[in-house]
Amino acid sequence: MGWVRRLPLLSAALLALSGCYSYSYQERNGGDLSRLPIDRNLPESKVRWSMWWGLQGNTFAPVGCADGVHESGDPACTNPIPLCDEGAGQVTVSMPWYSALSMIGTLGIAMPHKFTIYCATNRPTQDSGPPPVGP
Amino acid sequence: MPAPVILEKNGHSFKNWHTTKNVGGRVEHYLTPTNRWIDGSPVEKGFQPGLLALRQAVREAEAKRERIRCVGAAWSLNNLAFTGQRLVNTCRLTHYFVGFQSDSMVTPAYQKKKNRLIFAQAGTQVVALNDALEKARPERLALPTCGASNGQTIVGATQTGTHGSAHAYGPMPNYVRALHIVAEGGEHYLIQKRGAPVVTKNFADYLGAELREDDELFSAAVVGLGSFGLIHAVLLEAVPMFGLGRWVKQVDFPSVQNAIYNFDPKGLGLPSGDKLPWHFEVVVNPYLRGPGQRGAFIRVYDKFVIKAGDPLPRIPVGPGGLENSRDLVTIGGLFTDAVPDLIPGALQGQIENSLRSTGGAVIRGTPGGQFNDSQPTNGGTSMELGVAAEDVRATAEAIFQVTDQHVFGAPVAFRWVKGSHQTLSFSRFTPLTCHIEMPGIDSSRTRNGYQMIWQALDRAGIRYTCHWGQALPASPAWVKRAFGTRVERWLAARRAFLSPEGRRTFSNDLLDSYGLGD
Repeated sequence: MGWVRRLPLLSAALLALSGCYSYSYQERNGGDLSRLPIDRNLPESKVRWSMWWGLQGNTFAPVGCADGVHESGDPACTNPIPLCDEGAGQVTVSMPWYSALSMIGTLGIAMPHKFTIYCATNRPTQDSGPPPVGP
Repeated sequence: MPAPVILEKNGHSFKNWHTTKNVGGRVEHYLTPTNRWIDGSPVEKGFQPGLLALRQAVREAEAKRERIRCVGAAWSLNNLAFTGQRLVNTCRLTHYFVGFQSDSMVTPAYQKKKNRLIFAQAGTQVVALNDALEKARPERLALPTCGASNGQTIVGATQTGTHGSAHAYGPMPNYVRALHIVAEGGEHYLIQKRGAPVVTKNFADYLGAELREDDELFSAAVVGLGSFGLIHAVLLEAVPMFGLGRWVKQVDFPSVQNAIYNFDPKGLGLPSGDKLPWHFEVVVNPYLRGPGQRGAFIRVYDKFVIKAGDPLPRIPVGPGGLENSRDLVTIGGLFTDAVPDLIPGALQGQIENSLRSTGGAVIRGTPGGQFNDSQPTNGGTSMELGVAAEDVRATAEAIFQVTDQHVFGAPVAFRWVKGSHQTLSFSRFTPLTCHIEMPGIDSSRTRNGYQMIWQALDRAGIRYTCHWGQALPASPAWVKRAFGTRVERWLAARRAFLSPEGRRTFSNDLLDSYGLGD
């Protein structure tokens, strides 16, 4: 009955695969309702913990850094700036590989989620007028 | 002048948009310039901080004798843009304007249509331009053609020669009228054709750039593979807004064979009758080519006029979002080819899902509405050939011989583009280039399939080009075979513009391996 002995390992592996699930929200433009262009090359990601069966939530409101030395979110940053000049264009929430294990191991007390923010590279145009004209 | 904000990451792990295997890697200095000053002071000309950031980045790279390249939306499925030393992410450089106010900025030939000229920084995505042009005044505008998607940056798409299926127009670089390039020493140049200049020295002065009018330099640099310097911006010429009607029909391969091999739509029952529509495309499941197997999909977009003041046609919105067609790489990326026996059926399902028949109806929309959302494929790749129209039959037969022996998960899509005179355009066959694309998952099975096709074409003596932004043969021999004397012209133009040190700075391993780095 070797497979029975391996069952915990298999279960843990399958639970870890739940880290592949993800959900995204994407902002759209006015007009043709195209998706807002985003900078997919420089996302801002962080794992955040929600505690006590959701009684203690967790808001993610990161800042960027423009001192040329530190990365965004580094407390040593000497010139913190808004993370996205044009706002967030896409927000993705996924579960780290240890989410399900953590939830089971802590009886649901601690549940981590990974937030990823992709900055919009142009503002949404719902209310904009004609584009800017050159010199 | 204040310092620009440049977001910097050291030791960044760069992946392309489709997270294709073996594309990207560790980057020592990953730089994201912005259009913002560090001290928060107001920006007088919207592009100035970004331009200064690029100039500064070039000087820093030169001081350390490091290579520097730009990457846009990272849509390329190979390492054409990549360097591990200094990689500039241009995605935040999105300043643009549409039209000029002053006649003094443009040449007399353009004074009456100066409202159709667009100046766009490198990171401006096609989607942003589509959106802006719909709102342009005094007339609504559109890009003449696009790459059948909208997520590419305008510079990334044009530098690689991206195309749609505009057989009467040509690829995207055809509407680039000038290039604004940051080259050696951080000096910057506005390059346009001497034979057909669009802007005057006044506009170069407005940018602070040196004006270069040189047909050979422009023709080489417009499909420059990002190696003439860091491209800060491009000047484009748009056309009055037009509509596109989409019509998709699933048919048997034998019934569309003549249309593919002879570029002749007679008898297909298209909405345009026997006349070729603006965009004609056939996607074939290479494993279902028999009668009754319904393994071919015809997709056409026909142009129609939208008069001033008419409401713009909008694509119906379904419960899950917009009901429009997906781009081809997405088709290939939605399934794995881990079980070869399942590939023909799985591929058919994916094509049917992505190229849904319109049931005889024509779905009307704007270009921006038709070529809309694209999804990253999580490991997708693609290979695309360009061949002369008279070689389509032989090329298709060579491809089908390979797929009959070696099954891999990729449809075969045929599109036609007017031949281009840009030096290294892979739509180089005149009067018409047929592009044959095979998007799939980046597995060893797919890579072997591509390799077998290139070898089969070489054996058959068929001359072909390859899409600069897709999977490419490892051997450099194809470049010379594909472009002939154009390679020497391209190298000569680059040598005249950049010193040996400059050519090294703005090249990378892939270009070096093809003999295009020097």
